[in-house]
Amino acid sequence: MDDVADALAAIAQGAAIEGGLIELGGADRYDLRALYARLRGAPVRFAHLPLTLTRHALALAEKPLLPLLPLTAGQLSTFVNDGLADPHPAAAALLPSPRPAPRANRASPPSGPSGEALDKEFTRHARYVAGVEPTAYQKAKNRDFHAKRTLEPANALDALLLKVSRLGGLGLALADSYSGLLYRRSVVRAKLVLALALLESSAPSFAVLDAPDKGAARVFQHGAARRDGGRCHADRGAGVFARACRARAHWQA
Amino acid sequence: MSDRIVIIGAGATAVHFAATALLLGRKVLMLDVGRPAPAPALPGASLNGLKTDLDDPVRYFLGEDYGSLILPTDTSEYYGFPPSKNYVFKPLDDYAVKAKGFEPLMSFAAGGLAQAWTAGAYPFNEGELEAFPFGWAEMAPAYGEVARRIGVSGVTDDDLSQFYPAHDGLLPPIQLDAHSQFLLDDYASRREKISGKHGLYLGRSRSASLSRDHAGRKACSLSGRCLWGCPSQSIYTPSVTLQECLSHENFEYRPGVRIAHFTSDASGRVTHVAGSLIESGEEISVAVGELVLAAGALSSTRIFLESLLRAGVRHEAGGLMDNRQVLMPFVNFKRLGAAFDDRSYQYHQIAIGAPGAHPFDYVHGLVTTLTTAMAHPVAQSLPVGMRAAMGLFRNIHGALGLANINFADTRREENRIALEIGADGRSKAMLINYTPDTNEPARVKPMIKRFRGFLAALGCVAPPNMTRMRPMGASVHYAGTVPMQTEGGDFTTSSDGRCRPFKNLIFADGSTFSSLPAKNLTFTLMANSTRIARAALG
Repeated sequence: MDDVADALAAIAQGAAIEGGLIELGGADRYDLRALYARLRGAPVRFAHLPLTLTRHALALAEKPLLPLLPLTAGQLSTFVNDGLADPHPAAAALLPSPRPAPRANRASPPSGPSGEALDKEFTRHARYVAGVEPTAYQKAKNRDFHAKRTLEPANALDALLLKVSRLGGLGLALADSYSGLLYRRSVVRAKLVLALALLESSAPSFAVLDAPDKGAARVFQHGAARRDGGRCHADRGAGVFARACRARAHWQA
Repeated sequence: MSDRIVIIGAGATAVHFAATALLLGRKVLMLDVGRPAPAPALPGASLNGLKTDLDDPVRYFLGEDYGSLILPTDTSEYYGFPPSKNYVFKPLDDYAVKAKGFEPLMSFAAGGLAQAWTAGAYPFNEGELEAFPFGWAEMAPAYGEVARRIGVSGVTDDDLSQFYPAHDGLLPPIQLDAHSQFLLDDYASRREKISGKHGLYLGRSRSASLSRDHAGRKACSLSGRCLWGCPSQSIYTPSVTLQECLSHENFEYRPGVRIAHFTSDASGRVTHVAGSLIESGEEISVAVGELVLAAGALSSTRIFLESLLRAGVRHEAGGLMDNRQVLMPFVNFKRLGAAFDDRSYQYHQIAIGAPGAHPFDYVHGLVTTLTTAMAHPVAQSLPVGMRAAMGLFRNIHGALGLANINFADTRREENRIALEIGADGRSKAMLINYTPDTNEPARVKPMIKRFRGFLAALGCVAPPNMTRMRPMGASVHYAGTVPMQTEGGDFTTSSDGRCRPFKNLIFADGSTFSSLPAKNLTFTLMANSTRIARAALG
């Protein structure tokens, strides 16, 4: 707070601020989880709730139960938006170098996996998400991405999901499924999206990702039969949709 | 005094004003920031050919720093722009904009924003031009002139032709992709029933893309590379006309220049434009005979306001308009499991027309079948794990589509562009404020329902939770800040684009639009600029 007090004193003493709203921010940026953990001074466990569902539920409950609710849908929305200070020239003049929080209270930076570990992880993800073996070029691009952009867990749950995903087969499937349903911004999902993007952008894996399954084609044949006025292309498949199609043709006959 | 026409900008309106002025025998100097487009990679290759043959395909598709890779942790409104089009949206240093209720996109590329357009070329009809101080009779020759210049493909005999007036120079339509053909066939088989129930119509788009060789450019080769930049210029971009102008002896193009304002004498005649060189920052001043502001509605308005400010007039330009857009992804259940052909035209080839009580109330839906869209942005939006999402995506890829529904906008004075003024009296930033019409929900929500019902009648499901209203500014159809009015006051324009009270200041871009119909405005921008050039200089 000292530097904010200094800034306010400077304004009171006539510093040129030219009206308008000036937002002052510190040197550090925290998400809510990290901030809460820092305030408590110890690691914190979080239970994640699906935001959209919770917000709608709160909105419904607000009318009859407003005095009893611990928070409202509107308050919940504030958690979605950040509280970062917008850059302002006056802020730069008043707070040229915001003082960081004492080092002792800061979380240690996450350590990333080695190049070999990245290759193993990427191979696992490529097999899992597309059933293909990545090429040396694709592995190199995966390493290149991690050298240029940070992809680290944002909190304890995120780290746990990543750890579970590294257990292999079932662990990866569990972490992926959980992320898809309840934690779409997890680092596991981001890494799988990265793998998918690299695989679909280069040969030979793009061809695998472009091709529909044979089983799904039978669904299409069912649709084609409908378009042909109910005639069934029964000779085209043996799957459930083709069988249903033949059954319908038989019933119609 | 110079008789030279000085045009600011090199986008869709600037190049067509220049081309017309050159035809009229005038000398033209074009000043522009003018960031150049990169050379197309492997021009003869198909989309999948790029993945196979490029040395570093990931760099081409995702960018050097993976800027086009969309991860779940990103919150960008925009689908990742292809790296090959980054130059179109690269911002300019010290060009501060503060916007409220509006998310502006600006371009400083040679060719402007239309270097990244999707080539929809729709003429406004008489009803849609009602607020303008001229009608279809004045615009028709200009539409024809531009169509012959750029090449517009389409039909005049389907259900949407009632909403698109016919103009000269129309080429046959481009070969449809399989999904678009499927939808049109399905509609044709039951059109009276479907249209009768929903009051909506399906037909071909009009596209500034070549179905046959035209004016030195090759017909569409169906390379599937539309989204990443047509390697053969079959899809028209303003850089094509800029290249044509460059071959003219009376044309001079000076890129690398940022024009900040103009100065005028006591009689109201603009004498100079002033700005700086991008590289060195050196200040420059250029004498003008006629000044044409054609840098796009936002940039032209900023230059105008800055010039007034330096002349001691603080003005705010009201009436900013933009088309509200709603994105409605859908799955065509009749095409589940269908393979898709990567060698097909990628932009919208069919459209949905929704007439209202008045022609201006028409709502325009562009239907794109997402043939070669990247999988990862779509797959991660599905509420399942990535493995399941990718399995699902592979099987619905050939069945996916996107309706981009556009709504008309009208001028309202409270939607303003102004300058933020510092203590030294100089401008610091451009301020944009936009508030939607209070009646907007009543217009938009029922229309979304109608579109969803119409698509359902065609066997397509549009999940409600995936339908998304885009923020204002996202359509990049900015207009209306210096409107054309028959008897307007100062800081309005006449029907020939001349700005009152100045004697030799012409606005040729969307700033002059008196209203904004739902159809994409770019073709009309080009035609109106051509019309203005002939009216003001002829």
